[in-house]
Amino acid sequence: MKKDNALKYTIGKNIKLFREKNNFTQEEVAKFIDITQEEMSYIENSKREIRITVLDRLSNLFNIPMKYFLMENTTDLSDSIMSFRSDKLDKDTLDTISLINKFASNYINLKKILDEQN
Amino acid sequence: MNRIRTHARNLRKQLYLSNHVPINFSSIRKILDFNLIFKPFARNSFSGIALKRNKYNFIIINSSKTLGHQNFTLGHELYHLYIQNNFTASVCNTGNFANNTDKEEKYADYFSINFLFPDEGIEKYIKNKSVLKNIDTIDLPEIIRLENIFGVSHHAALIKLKEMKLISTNRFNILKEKIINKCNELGYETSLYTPTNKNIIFSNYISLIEKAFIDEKISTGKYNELYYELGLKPPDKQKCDEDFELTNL
Repeated sequence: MKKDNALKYTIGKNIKLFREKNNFTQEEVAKFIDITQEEMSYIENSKREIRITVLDRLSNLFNIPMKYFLMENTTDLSDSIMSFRSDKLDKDTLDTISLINKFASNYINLKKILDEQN
Repeated sequence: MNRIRTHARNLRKQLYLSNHVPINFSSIRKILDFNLIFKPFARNSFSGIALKRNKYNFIIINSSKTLGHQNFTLGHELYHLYIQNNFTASVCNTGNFANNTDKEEKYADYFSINFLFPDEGIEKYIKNKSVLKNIDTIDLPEIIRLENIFGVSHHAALIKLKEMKLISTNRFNILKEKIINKCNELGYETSLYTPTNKNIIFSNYISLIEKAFIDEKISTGKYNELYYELGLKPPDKQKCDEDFELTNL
């Protein structure tokens, strides 16, 4: 039980850290994953668990590997985050940021594995 | 803004395009080698998103905006990706020009209009050259003809003509009204002024997936995942190298 709480704490803390590094508000990210802002706050404050499928969606949005959510010391990692400059972030926009991040990382990984071969 | 105009000219030069020819984004994409997705989002949402990662460039265009606006946004994103220093990523609401508080967004708008609709091209295609010397003498049919030659939105075209001092602010305000009816009347297609709602990817992404799979670098599961993650349906081995229609994105 103690271990579960520690994990919930780490994940919640990291979600908050990466969200803030990306300049997204709690409300914007909550809309993106179809929950209320209150629920989002519970997750960040380790009062509620988060499903793995939702973490996967957040990793695309924040453009980080999913394992980063589980790491205890992520402050250095978060320094390399490149946030999207925008003055308006509706749900469509966040969906598209997530899509373009996924597109780019898949593309680069494919290039990498095909280049390794040559 | 002279510096921005010079950037626009230089990019045309780099692409071996004179300042008289309309931009063909399909050719440009192949030369500059960027990855492009058109997808319809809410009409009032963003215009486009650009991302530079490693040495690769990615653009997503909101195809529920008018074709003229989409062309303008593509030009705008080219500024971010190929001109702006230290660019990484941006969500753009384009066409605000001087009203934009973000300096780079403003530059990208002016870059786009000068890239798509250069002074020399306008001067060349104007039928009655006297309008170049007398402000507010260019008429609406001639403006519509020019924007249809160069594929620019009516709003952007007016901004450029105002910048060239061919129209005044008063005339700009009169001319900026919707012009689809006028366009019909003049016998032009209205496609420039309507959304395309295209859902398509222009990239060699598909070829890369197929090659990685054939070379046994990825599993069948990963192969399918790479398609589905972008909203693409894995083909029944019916391959398409460049253009691929998106489904269920």
